[in-house]
Amino acid sequence: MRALPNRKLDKRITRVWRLSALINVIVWSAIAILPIAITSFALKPDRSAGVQDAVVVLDIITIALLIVMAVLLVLCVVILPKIRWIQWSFEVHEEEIDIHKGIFWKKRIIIPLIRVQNVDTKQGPVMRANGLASFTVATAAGEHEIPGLEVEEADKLRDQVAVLARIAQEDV
Amino acid sequence: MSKENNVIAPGGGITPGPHRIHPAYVVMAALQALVGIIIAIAAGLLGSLGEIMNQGLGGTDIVVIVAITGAVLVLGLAITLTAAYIYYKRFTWEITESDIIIRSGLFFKKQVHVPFQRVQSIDFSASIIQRIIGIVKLKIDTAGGSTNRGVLIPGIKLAEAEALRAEVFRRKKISEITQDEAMQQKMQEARAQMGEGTAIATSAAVPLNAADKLVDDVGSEIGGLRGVFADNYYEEAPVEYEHGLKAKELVLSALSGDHNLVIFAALVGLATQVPQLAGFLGLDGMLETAVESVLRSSVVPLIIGIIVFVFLITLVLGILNSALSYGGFKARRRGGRIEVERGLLSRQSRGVAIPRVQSVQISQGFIRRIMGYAELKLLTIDSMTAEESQQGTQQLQSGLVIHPFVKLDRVDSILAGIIPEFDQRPQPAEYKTLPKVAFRRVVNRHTILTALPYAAFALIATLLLSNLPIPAQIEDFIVWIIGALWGILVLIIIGRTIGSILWYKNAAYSYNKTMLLIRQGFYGRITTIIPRNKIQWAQTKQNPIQKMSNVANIVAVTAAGVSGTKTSLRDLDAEEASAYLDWIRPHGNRVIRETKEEGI
Repeated sequence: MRALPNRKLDKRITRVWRLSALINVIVWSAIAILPIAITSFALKPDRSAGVQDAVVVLDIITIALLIVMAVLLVLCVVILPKIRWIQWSFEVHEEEIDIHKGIFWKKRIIIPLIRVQNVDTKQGPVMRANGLASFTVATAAGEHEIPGLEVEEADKLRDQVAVLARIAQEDV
Repeated sequence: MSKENNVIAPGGGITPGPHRIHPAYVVMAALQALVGIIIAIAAGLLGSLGEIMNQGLGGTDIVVIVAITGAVLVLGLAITLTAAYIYYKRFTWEITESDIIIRSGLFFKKQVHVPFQRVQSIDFSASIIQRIIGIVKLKIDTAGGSTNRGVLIPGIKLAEAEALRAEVFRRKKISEITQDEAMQQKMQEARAQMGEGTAIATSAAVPLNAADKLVDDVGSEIGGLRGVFADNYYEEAPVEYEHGLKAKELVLSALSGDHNLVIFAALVGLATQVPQLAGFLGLDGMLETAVESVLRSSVVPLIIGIIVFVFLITLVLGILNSALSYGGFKARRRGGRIEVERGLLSRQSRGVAIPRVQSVQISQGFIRRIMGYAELKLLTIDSMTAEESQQGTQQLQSGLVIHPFVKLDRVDSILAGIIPEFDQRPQPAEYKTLPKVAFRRVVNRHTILTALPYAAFALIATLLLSNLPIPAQIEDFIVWIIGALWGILVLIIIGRTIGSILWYKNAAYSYNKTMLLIRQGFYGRITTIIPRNKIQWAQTKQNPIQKMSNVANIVAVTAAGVSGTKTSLRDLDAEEASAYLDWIRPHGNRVIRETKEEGI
C-alpha cells in the first residue's frame, strides 16, 4: 500500500466550509420551520379546544425541528469541516495527481496528467476574503477540484500542471 | 445563390451554396402535430363525458361540440403548418471549404458552423413514412461533451445524405492532410532556427508520401485528388468484416428478455391463487342457485385463459418489437470505423470511429445467461444535438450494439472481426475473484438489509390484522393475506440469497498491460473491458465498515456517454485495490509486464 499524499489544504478553507454549511443549515431549517411556526402563531388567538390541541402539536414539531437544527449546526459547522480538512491531502507528481479525501467514504483518486485537458483556478467572494483559491483539473470525464489553496500557490500549481500535462507522455 | 439547385454535383460531391431540407418535412411535421392535437381533443371530450351522460345531449350541444372540435383542429393544423413551413423556409445547410453551416430561426437567427475536423460521425435514421418518401433524418456527431453539440438535418433525400456524408469525410481527410503539411512546415522552420543539434529529430520525422503532399488549396484538391482519397477513405474503404442476425436469433432475443420471466412468474403466481380468490370474492354459498354454480365452474378457467392470453400477447409484441428494431441488422468494420445498420420499418445507420470507442460490454440477462447468449455493445463518446438536449438525456441511446444476441462461443470471433483492438483483453484464466469477506458483505447488504425491514413490516401487519375485530365472512381472506405476507418474505430471502451467491460468483476483475476487465451482476452479468489508456481517472473507495474487513471498491472512469461513465467493483482486497491504482499510475503497467517476465 502506498503512503498517503503529503500536501495539505490551507487551514483557512475550514472557515469557508463552515460558512457555507452555516448558510445551508439556516436556509433549509427556515424553509422547514417557519411555515409551521407561523401557522401556530396565527392560530394562537383562537380559543376553541380543537385548535389549541393543534397549536400544541405544531409547537412540539417546531421545538423538535429546532433541536434537529441545533444538532445539524454542531455537526456540519463545527465537527465535519475539521474532519474533512484532516482527511484531505493531495500531491502533484511529475505524471499524476494523487488525491485522498472523504469523511465517511475515504477516496483515493489518481488522475494521470496525460489525461488532463485543461486546468484553471477559481475564486468565489468568500474564498477571496480568506485569500484562497481553488484549483481545478478537467479530464474528458469530469473535473476534480482541489479547494482552499493560497492564491499564489494555486496559480503556481495551475501553471506547473499545465506544463507537466503538456510534456507527460506514456510509452505503452 | 439559388436554393433550389441540384444538391449533388454532376461529377459527384455537393454543389456549393445553401440547400433546403426536403419539402415533405412540412407535411410530416404537421401530421405529427395533428396526431397530438387529436389526442388532446379526445382527452378533452372524454373528460366531459361524465357531464354529457348526466345531462343528456341536446341537438344544439352536438352542433357546438362538432363546431369547437373542428375549429380547434383547423386552427391547430394551420398553426403547425405555418410553423413547419417557416422552419422549412428558414432552414438551410451548406458545405464550405472548412465547415458545414446550418442556418435556422425566424426571429432568433441561428447559424451553427461545424468544422470538418470536429465531425466524428454522420448517422441516418428514417421512420416508416420517411422511408416510403425516401428521406432520412441526418445527425452530425461532433467531438462530444455538453459544449460541443451535434447538429441535425431533419429531412434530406437518402442519396443526398450519402453524398453529404462522403463529401464531409473526404474534406475532413483533406483538411487533416493540409494540417499535417502545415505542421511539417512549422517543424522544418523550427529546426532551421534551432540549428544543427536536432539532427535526430529530423530523421525521426516521417516524410509524407508524394501523393499526399501536393496540397495548395482545398478547392483544387477536392477536384483533383478525388480518386486518390475516395480509394482509401470512408465509403470506399473495403469492408474487413461483417455480420448480420439470423431469424432464429432475432426471435430468441425477444423471448430472452428478463421482463418475460417476471411477467411469467407474476402470472403463474396469480393463476395458482385464482381458485382461492374466486372463493373470497363471495361466490361461496351466498347465492345457491344454478347460475352461481355455472359461474363458479367457468370463472376459474376464464381467468386462467385471460392470463395465458396476456402472456402470449406480450411475447408476440416482444418478438414484433425486436424484429422491427433489429430486423436487417448489419454490423461491419471498414477501415478505422464501425458501422451498424438496423430496423425493419424505421431504419437507422450509425457509425463510430475506433478512437471514440471507450469500452466493450458483454451483457447477459438471467435468461440469456442460462441459454448462453449475450449482447455485445460498444460504449462510445456521444454528443447531443440541441434538439436532444431539449428532450432530455433519457432518450439518448448510449452505446452502439454490435450484436444484440450472440452465442457466447462466437463472442471472441465477432470482437476479433469488428474491433481487433480489444484482442489483448485478459482471458478467463487470468480473472481474479473477491475475498471471502465480500460474500458475507453481499449477503448482508443484498439479503439481510432487504429482508429485515420487510419482516418488520410483515410482523406489524400480522399483529394489526389479527387483533382487529373482523367479520366472520372475511376471516378466511385475512388468514390468506397473512399467509401471503410471510410467503413473500420466504421468497425474498430465497431469491436474494441466490442473488448474493450469484453476485459473489460473477464478480471478477483482471488487468494486464493494456486492458482492465470487470465482471459483475446478480442474476445476469455484465463484463466490461476498458483499455487502460481510455481510463480518464481512477479511484478507490472505502467506508469504515469496509476498513474493518480490509476491503475497498475500485472505480474506473472513461469518457463514454455525454459526461463520462463510471465502472466499479465492490469489495476487493484492500491491497489489491491499491495495486489497481498503482497500475493506473503512468508506467504502472510496466511493473506487471516485468514481474510476469521474471515469473517465467
